[in-house]
Amino acid sequence: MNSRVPLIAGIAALSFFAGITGIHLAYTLTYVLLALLILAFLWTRGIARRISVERVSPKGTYSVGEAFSERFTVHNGSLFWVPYCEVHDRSDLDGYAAGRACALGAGDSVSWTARGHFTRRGRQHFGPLDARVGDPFGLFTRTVRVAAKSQVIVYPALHPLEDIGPLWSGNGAGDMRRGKAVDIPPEVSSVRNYDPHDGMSRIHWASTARTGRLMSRTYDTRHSADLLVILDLRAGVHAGSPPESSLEYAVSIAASIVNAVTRRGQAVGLITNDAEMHGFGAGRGEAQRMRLLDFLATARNDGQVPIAQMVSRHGDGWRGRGGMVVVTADRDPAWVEALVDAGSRGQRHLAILLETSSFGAPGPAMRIPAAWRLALDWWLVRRGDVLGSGERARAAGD
Amino acid sequence: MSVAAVSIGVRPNSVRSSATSLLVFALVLATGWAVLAGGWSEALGSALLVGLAGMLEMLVLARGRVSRLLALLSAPLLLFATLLPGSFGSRPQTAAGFPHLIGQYAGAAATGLLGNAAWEFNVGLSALLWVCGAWAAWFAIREHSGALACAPCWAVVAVNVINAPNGGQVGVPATAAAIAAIALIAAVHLDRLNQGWQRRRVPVLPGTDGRFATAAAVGGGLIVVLALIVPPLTSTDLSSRFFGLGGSAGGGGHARSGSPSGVGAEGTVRFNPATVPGGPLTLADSPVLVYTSSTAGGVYLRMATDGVFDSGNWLPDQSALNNGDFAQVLVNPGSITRDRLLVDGGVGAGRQPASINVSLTDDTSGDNVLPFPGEPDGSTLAARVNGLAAPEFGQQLITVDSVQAVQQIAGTSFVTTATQSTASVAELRAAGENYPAFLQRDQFIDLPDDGTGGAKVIRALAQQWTQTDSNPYDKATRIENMLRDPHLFHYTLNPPLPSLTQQVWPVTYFLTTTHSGYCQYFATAMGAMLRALGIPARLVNGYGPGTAPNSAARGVDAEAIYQVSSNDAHTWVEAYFPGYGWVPFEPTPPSQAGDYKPFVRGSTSTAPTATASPSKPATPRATARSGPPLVATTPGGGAGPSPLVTGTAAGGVVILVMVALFTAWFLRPRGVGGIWRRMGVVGMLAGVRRDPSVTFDEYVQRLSAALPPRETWAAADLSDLALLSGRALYSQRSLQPDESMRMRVAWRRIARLLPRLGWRALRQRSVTP
Repeated sequence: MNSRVPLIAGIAALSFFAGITGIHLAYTLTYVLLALLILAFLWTRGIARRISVERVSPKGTYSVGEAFSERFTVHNGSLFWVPYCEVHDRSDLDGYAAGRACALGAGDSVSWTARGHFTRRGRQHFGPLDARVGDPFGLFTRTVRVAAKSQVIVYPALHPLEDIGPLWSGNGAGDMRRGKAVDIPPEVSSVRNYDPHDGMSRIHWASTARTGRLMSRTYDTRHSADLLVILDLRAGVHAGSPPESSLEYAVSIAASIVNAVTRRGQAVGLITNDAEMHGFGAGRGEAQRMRLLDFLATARNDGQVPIAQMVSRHGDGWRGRGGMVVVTADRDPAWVEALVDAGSRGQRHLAILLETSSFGAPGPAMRIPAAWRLALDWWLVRRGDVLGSGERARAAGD
Repeated sequence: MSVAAVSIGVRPNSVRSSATSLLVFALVLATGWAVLAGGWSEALGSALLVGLAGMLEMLVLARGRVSRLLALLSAPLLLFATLLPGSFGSRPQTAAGFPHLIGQYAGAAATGLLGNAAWEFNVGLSALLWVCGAWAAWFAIREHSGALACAPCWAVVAVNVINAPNGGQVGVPATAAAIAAIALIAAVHLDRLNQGWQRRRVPVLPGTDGRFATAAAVGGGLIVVLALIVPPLTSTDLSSRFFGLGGSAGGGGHARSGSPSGVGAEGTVRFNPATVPGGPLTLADSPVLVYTSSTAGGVYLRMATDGVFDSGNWLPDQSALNNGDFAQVLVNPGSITRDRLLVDGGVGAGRQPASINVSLTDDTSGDNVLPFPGEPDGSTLAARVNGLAAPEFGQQLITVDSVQAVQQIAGTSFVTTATQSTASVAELRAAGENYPAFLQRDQFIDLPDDGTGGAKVIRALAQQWTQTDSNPYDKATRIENMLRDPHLFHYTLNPPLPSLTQQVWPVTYFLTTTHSGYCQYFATAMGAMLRALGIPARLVNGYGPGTAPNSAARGVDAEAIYQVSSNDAHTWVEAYFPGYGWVPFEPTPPSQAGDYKPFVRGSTSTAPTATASPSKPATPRATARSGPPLVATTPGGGAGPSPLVTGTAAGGVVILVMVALFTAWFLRPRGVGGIWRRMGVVGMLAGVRRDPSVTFDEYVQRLSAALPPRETWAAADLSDLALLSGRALYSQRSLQPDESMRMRVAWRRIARLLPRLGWRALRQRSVTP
């Protein structure tokens, strides 16, 4: 029962008896209850109008597992004390409890820092935030809402996969062996101030005109063969619930590969079979990395096209340009055949298969015939696997 | 996910609930103290212990997480077990057996407070305090509802304040209980908040509890101080009008002197030479005398005066004055020998003679005291005259307090003569304050206090009432009028009384609290207030004019025979005016039993105009209150509703009437035009003004779009209304009956929007800077 009900009933009864008896003390008791009600109302109203909550939230990009911190400051601008202020953060960050309960004197401020880790990829909003204040007698409460102001993009968890790279992507030696690296023209990654040793062809005239001084292009260090990552985002393929779902594992593996490859200066492309059939041509450099990670941060498994079709469709076009990595949980062997068909001499593709049975999906794990094991590099991923370089031996399908 | 300080600032629950338990203890203790101070019973110490035990028992259950059902079931057993040790030995003996014992206790607990039996009353009171303690503990600790926890204690304190025999002693404990209740409400709320924060894993920053407690203490203190400062809106006891306690509900009462000794004792209306405002009186209506008067109309029959004020009572000089001036003089039939010199302070000038021929049936005085139609002047009987005499007056009587015939007067006839004041208002106003010395020496202006503060209260009240008056006569008239004002005081034979242990004079209680009493109260109050202002005063006991059954047919004439019964016993006031002597005043208001009116001043007649006709209830005159002190406020009270209350009530009534008229107008449109005029009001509140060029459809579309989300249900009705209105106004055929009905129904549904839209508009306006 709301505390106001017995109070108002008491006021009504006491007012009546005080009125008809004219006893001063009865009036005093009535006034106590009445003043309690009025003061509580004015108190709550007064502090609700004058209380402000400021939060300094992180900005930019993060990846799953990274830590962050927020600074909160509650300021009471009223002449009343704030008996309590319960700050409730409505951010949809799992496990993040930034709210606090505090009390403030007149004109006081109180601050605290809340720390947490990102546990989900995607666009994460900080806020909104509710500050609930009330009188010390529990009669009235008011909630002040502070709208969400900032958001961050949280990339999938990035794991160190550099050591397993030589198996499925070219390095300098491999490229030379295949004779492909030298055919790829350099790519401009940025500009810098002109150096007297630079040739005229290296001058970037647009930047020179804009800055008023000579600027030269800089080129990404070329490695060798490109890499195409094909990520299976078909609905119904994946199993489990986030963060321990095969989808999250797959996205995380794809993001880790993209991150590792671009950090090494190789070109990488990404093909998915989601509802919008997103595809990103091969590219290298930071811009490509950001582009692919931005997409992977919000990727969803809402597609309808089987991964086998995607492999078949893009395999022929990619033939000879570099390696392919298929990340899927699909137990239909058709995609394996398509990937084998897309291979060429001297080029082994990598099949990363997430065993959905370990994520709770019914049915047996897919059997990989010996012929396929010989034709492809395999990485079987189960729930609970640590996706770091130290697990390569276990992860490799050989 | 880690958070920096998950448990910072969270005090252990045990610490907080211990503080709450202590406050529950304090509340129960203060409640018990208030009841104890109320003077209900002498055995309240044990009742208080029972209350505290109940608190502790339920505290254990609440902390032990016992289920509600189990606690409810165990409560009667615990109550019985707690009551038993302190009351078993003193219980009245009844039939043996445990069921009888249970029944005895259950009956006492349930109805003991309603009766007068001591054991049952104490058991009932103990049970009540047990319930208070147990309830407070359970709701504070277990249910976390502070307001509910305090409710029974608050109710007990309030009832105690209103009804306690020692109402004046309850102030401090009631205030303590109020403070404890406020503190408990805050503490329970803090407990509840902390519990919620703990459940929702909301970390609490350090210092929160301390700041909360400080804020609650400051707020609570402010509340209590405010409540103590703000004066009461009324101080008139109108409870008798609601509950029939005392007041004039008995009808036919006629205030008389003659309360037996002892406050609160019940007696009959009869003559008494002393004036002791006391308890309830009943009417006996036994014949006393019949008389004819030499003046037109009936006269007040003066028998004895009280010149000594003592502890709120008035006593005859002979019994209380101890300075040697009291004298008893034996006089022969004829004129009474007395000092008539104005310079001495004798009977004064401006007086006319009056005489009555009396046939006495019953000597109610028991001492053959003769009745006189004014200041005693002579009689046809030899008598002993009691009064004040002093050497400077040649041992002549300067006052005549009473005249006792030396013979038995019951069943005899005799004539007494007296003088009546004919001083005019102007003369009395100009009389000044040069009082003869004997008035001071013989204590006619004394208002001694006895440590209860009664004289101080009366003095403050008298000064407040007469602050705009400059001369004694106006002051006396002001007091007389105030006491006669039916809005301020009312007449009853059953006046509320202070308790035996309450240190307050009944007359003070009358003036400050109850405002109800009979003639002794009114006369005592006026006499005391006059003395408080330095005006010599005394009280006169005797009889009112009585009734003249034949006078109605013959008109009022000097030959009318007046019958006086014991019910006509009366007390009034005389004040001394230099040069004019003792002048009577009538402070008792008219009542159903007697239409006592102020004495008429002037030379034509100073005969009292009171008529007493029990068979013809008099209409209380509408006293025109003049002068500033409309509310009889004293350090402890006042009377009547204040202008603020009256104005607020009148304003409220006007607003209610306006709201009712508007509602009636709004809900009953006479046609399509009327509906759309009212729609203009709805649209205005919704923020959509109606342009005459806009069609009905366009308007309702705009209106529907402007409705708050919760009111979108009205869109269909608005469309229906627009369609039917267009059809009614522009179609060749008029609306069919069913269509008219649809239109009315749609309008009534739309009309429901008005209060909601009005409230929304009000809120939006209030939040707009």
